[in-house]
Amino acid sequence: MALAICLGGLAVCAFVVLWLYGRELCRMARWLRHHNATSNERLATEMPGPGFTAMARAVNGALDAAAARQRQAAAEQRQFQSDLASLSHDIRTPLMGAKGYVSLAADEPDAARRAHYLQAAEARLGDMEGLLNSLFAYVQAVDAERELDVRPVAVLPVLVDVLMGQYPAFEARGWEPQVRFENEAFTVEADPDALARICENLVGNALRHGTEAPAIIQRGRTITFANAVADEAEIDVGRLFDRFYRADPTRTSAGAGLGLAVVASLAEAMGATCAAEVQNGRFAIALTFPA
Amino acid sequence: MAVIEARGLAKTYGGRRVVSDFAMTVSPGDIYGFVGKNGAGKTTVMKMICGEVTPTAGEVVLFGGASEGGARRIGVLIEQPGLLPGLTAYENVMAKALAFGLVDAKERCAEVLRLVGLDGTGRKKAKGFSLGMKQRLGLALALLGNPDVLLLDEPFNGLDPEGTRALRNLIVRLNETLGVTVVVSSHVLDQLDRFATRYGVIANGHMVRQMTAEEVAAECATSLRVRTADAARDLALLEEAFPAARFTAYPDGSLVVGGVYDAENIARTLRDNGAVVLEFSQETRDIEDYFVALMEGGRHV
Amino acid sequence: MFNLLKSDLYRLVHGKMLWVMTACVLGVSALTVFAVAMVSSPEFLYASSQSFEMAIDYVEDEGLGDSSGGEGSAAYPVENVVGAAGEESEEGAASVNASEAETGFDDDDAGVAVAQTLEATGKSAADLTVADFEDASRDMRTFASPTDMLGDAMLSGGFASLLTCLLVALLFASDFATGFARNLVMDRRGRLCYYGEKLLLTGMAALYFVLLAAAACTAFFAVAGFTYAASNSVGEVAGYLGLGWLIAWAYGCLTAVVVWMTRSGGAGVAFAIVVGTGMLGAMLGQVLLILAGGIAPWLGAVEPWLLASCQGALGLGMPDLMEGALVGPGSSILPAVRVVVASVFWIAASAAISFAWLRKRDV
Repeated sequence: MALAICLGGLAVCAFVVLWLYGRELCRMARWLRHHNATSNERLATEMPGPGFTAMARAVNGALDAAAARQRQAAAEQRQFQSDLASLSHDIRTPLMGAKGYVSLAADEPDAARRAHYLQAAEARLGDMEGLLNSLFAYVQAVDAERELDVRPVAVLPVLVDVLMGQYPAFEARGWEPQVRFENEAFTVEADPDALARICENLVGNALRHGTEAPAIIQRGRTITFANAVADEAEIDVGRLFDRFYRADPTRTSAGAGLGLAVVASLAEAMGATCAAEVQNGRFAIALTFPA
Repeated sequence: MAVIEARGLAKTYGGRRVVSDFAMTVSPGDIYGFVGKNGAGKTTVMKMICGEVTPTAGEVVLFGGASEGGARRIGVLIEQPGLLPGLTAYENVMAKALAFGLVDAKERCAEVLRLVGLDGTGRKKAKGFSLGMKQRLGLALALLGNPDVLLLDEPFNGLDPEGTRALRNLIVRLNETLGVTVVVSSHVLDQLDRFATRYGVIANGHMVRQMTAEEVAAECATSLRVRTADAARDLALLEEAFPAARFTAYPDGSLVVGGVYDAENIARTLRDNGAVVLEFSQETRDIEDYFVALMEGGRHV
Repeated sequence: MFNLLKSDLYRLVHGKMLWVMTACVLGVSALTVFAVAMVSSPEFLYASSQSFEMAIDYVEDEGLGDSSGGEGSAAYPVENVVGAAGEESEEGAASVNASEAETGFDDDDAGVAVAQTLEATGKSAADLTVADFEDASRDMRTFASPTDMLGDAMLSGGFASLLTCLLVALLFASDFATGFARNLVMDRRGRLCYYGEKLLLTGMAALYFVLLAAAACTAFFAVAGFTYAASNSVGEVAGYLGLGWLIAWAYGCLTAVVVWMTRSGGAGVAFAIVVGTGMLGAMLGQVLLILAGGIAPWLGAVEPWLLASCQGALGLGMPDLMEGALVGPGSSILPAVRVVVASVFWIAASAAISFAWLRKRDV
């Protein structure tokens, strides 16, 4: 008799526990259904038991990951908009300058001064054109859909072409670039156009910001572009490859700050790594290609 | 979709109408500065929003009336925080974390104590805490459930300047990184001034005005300060040219222009008459005067 | 509900209240056992007899007794004293009155023991030695049964109930006094969970104190060398403790309702002391019986169903509770059944009041 009561009681308890388990699962499902993606609220448990805790933990982990992704996307969007804004300032300045000079020229009676104003206006428009070209090159370079024609390319000839193309600029500065290749037949798997663009931008960077002739050294799988700089404190190595970054804080020098961003993007697309270093007044960018 | 929407809210305590016909809208991501004199009904309104007090009339709709579990998404610090005096800070937060059924309760408690700066209290019981520490523990309790909305009633009371700054930074950080909407009630206006994005002014239990921070700045920025080399001559000049504007001369030679004026015209007039302009800037009216006038119940300020 | 339970248990374990009360239980049990052991020790009995002897000598010296019969007159004061003591102790045993001392033991039992020893040995008071009191001591140190001991020690006197009510009063009031309840989700569903969980916690507290006090008393009495005339089966002890648990739980629930209505810890403590120990109930019972005699006989039927009377009934010990020994007029139902019904009724009533009426109150 007592045994029957005990067994009956146990059965009732088992049923109650099962019912509670079912109810908790339903509650969790309901919570998930009503959960707002932007909400910070996370799933909590109302029944003890390792299963429920593990489930809640897993759900919360997924929700946290989704929220982090969303926040990152929002941050990137904000960054992009701020970059666009600063680009538009960069374009507006020469544009307004050109406009201003033209209106000065219109009111100027003296022919010589008028010519001078118009020349200045033309120079400003030229700056604008340069900026927009950089922007277009950047857009092309970061185009994720773009197909790169990767094949074995000898680096030295490409580099020499680029240097020859910049010969007038070197001549004007009185510089002779030093090229030291350990292996003159060094070959990498790359898109020749992309490689040319990279070299173009790096050499151009050295010409614009260096204080003496650049040196281009190849050792192992790494090519280093090095040059001396005037003020190494101004260069923020961590942000060097960010789009629109310029070492000049007042942003008055020429250039949109896109050159190195293009280099980084193209290098990444080809599987190479880009690293920058500033030491003892010398600035160096090292490109390491995969084996 | 408004995070908090109050319509026609009213509360009567024993024949005395504390809140009447109150309306309020808080949008997601706001830092809402709720401003009013002592006794205007701020605390009662906040209690009605979080459900501690049942309104005698009107309704409060949270999160657009979405889920019925809305109560968990609000973190509240109103009047005294509900601390257990015989337990340490960690045990206090842990008691609430267990009541809420949070998973990973230990980590969450440690994290929340670190956020408010109470992770070094060790075995000190809550009854031995200073007022500022009690406030911070109350805030930790409010933050425990990962709220989407924080209701803070005069949180800066009892905090030293260091603590005030830390709390302000924490609120801004929560708002920016986690998108927490914060409603802060206070009568310390220059605290709110620095970080509120929207204001609501309550007077005599009634919402007088709701406006964004930009609108407040616009309403307060009504004057122009001009300083020239020859203040007297230029004052006369301007008074002739702009009869509708009001001019005030200051000992340092600057003129403050108020009323109806056009800044561009003033600048052109000065230039045309060969004035040497040394300073030309917009001046904002004292925000405190503006709010005090509103809190007294004035509608047209 | 489980979450609130976890939270409350955490608070109890990490706070001071529970451990202080546990220490009190152990302390009081130890003290009680010590006192009883002292009173029933041969040394004490001998000392009592000697103090009677001194009283006799004093009477003789003062010439208060009749000088014609030395032995008779010497015996008279002793018998008077012992007789009086015996009468008092009979009364004490007959009325299982919850308003007496918690333990229900009586120092006047000593007087009975002395008288019995005198008769047994046939010696005069002056010739008695400590050794003569060994038998009486052993008799006094023998309980009828374990449940009898438990009943006298802590259940029928309301000790366990008092502890439960005190814990309930202090803990539940602090929720509102400290404002901790505002931290919890108190919408409609939240409040139901809250009140339900607290009533459940009351049951757990009652169980804890019943078991703790039982264990303490049993252990301490065993250490002090007490024995039992009859033994109870495990089922009987379990059932008996279960009945005690139900009564303590019922009292605790009533205290909880009082605390929730008044939001005052003081009111709860006062209720615990006055009602939880069964004092008020006993007085009410007496009033009902008096009224029953005069005005309305049916009131007499109500009296056994009072919770306090049920608590007092626990003093009967286990086999008797199940065997329908009548205590008080107009009751023909098993005392055990009465206990269960009364307890469950009050627990359910408390729950009903909490869920229905207290739901709307502001936190």
